[in-house]
Amino acid sequence: MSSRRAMALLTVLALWPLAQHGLARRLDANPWKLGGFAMYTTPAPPLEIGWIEVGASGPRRLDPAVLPKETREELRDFERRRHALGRLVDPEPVARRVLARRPEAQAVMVVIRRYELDPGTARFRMDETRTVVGR
Amino acid sequence: MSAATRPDWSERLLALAGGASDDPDARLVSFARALLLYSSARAWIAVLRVDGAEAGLLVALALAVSASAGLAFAARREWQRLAPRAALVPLAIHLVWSFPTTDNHFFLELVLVLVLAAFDGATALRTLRFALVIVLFHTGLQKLLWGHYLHGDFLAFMIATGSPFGDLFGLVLPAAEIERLQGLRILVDGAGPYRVEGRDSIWLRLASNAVVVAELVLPFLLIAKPTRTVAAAITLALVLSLQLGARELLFLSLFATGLCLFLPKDPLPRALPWLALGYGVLFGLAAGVIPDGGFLRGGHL
Repeated sequence: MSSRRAMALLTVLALWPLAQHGLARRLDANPWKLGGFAMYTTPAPPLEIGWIEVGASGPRRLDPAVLPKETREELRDFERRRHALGRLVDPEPVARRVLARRPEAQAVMVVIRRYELDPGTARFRMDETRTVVGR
Repeated sequence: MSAATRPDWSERLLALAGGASDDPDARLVSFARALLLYSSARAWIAVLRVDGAEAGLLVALALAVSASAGLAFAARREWQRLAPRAALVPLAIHLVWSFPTTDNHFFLELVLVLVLAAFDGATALRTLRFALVIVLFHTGLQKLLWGHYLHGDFLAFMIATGSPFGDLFGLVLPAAEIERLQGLRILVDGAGPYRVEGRDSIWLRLASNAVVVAELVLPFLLIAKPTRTVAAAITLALVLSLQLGARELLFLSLFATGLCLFLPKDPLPRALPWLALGYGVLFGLAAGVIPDGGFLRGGHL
């Protein structure tokens, strides 16, 4: 019956934004994406993603410009997906590919800083995650 | 009434969005034409925003969507019925290509086309109306859940970052407060407070909470038949002011087209040439061949 199928579609449409809200809250997905209709509700959380390589002389910041073009594109793709999907996107695979391109490095660390506006204080709260991959 | 003739529960629920003066088939034809015109405009404007191999894909998708829109304008009913189904293919490809950074506006477009493709007559018309009010309700509910509208914090943030959306609400703040907000940093732990306090904040908080209340209440008034027409007018005024402020002209046209479904008399057949002209202007603005006088702020449509 077409009306029941229509109600099924409308039910999904009604419930999905609540699920998207949960993804945004718990897994840092972008509130402005994924069909939750939460644009203009909270600032789209800015992300800062930094790469650090650890070599014989210690850790130093890795400038993506020194990486091959295809690796740089992978980093851009990772940033794009991480910004939209939050912690559903694991940095470890792309960090391993970066490490593979830096034979002199013993490890690569990805530092992700996410800034979210706190409704209680009206200030930005920074949350930092670090992922280290080594040989 | 016998069990055989009693409407199913789903039909009774959908009937809430029905209307005494509905001529579903005629309304669906004009809505499909308007919607697929929008889809074509959106698809061609998207072509302007990419280059290289991606531009080739988007040109192909824009051609496919435009062809579907052409079907919607065919004289024969069979071709008209085919139009939304044909449009689903390039829209699905666009979704896969753009995911996960797909704009939410696109999801609304896709749902509306899906309803046209999957359903007919009164079921389609009523489902479209429910889809639009569900989306409107969620824009208000999400604002409530995220908590940044009670004190006007989100609006203060938009004012602070110089967003066009913020300009609209900045009209209710003194210049000194705007200067303070615009002096705040962003990518720093503890940056803020993005909140206006005291007497300066009264109008901003009122406006902020009024938006939320409107988005939560208007959906019910749009469904209820006695208040439907007035609610459509109020919703249109709300969407016009917010989306013009945000410079989201494409979304404004999409939602305004949807709101026409709530009016007792269908304005879309007469509006179609103006819509086509308007989309041509939007394309010209996006392409930079029509000067925007700084209105668009970096080409955002």
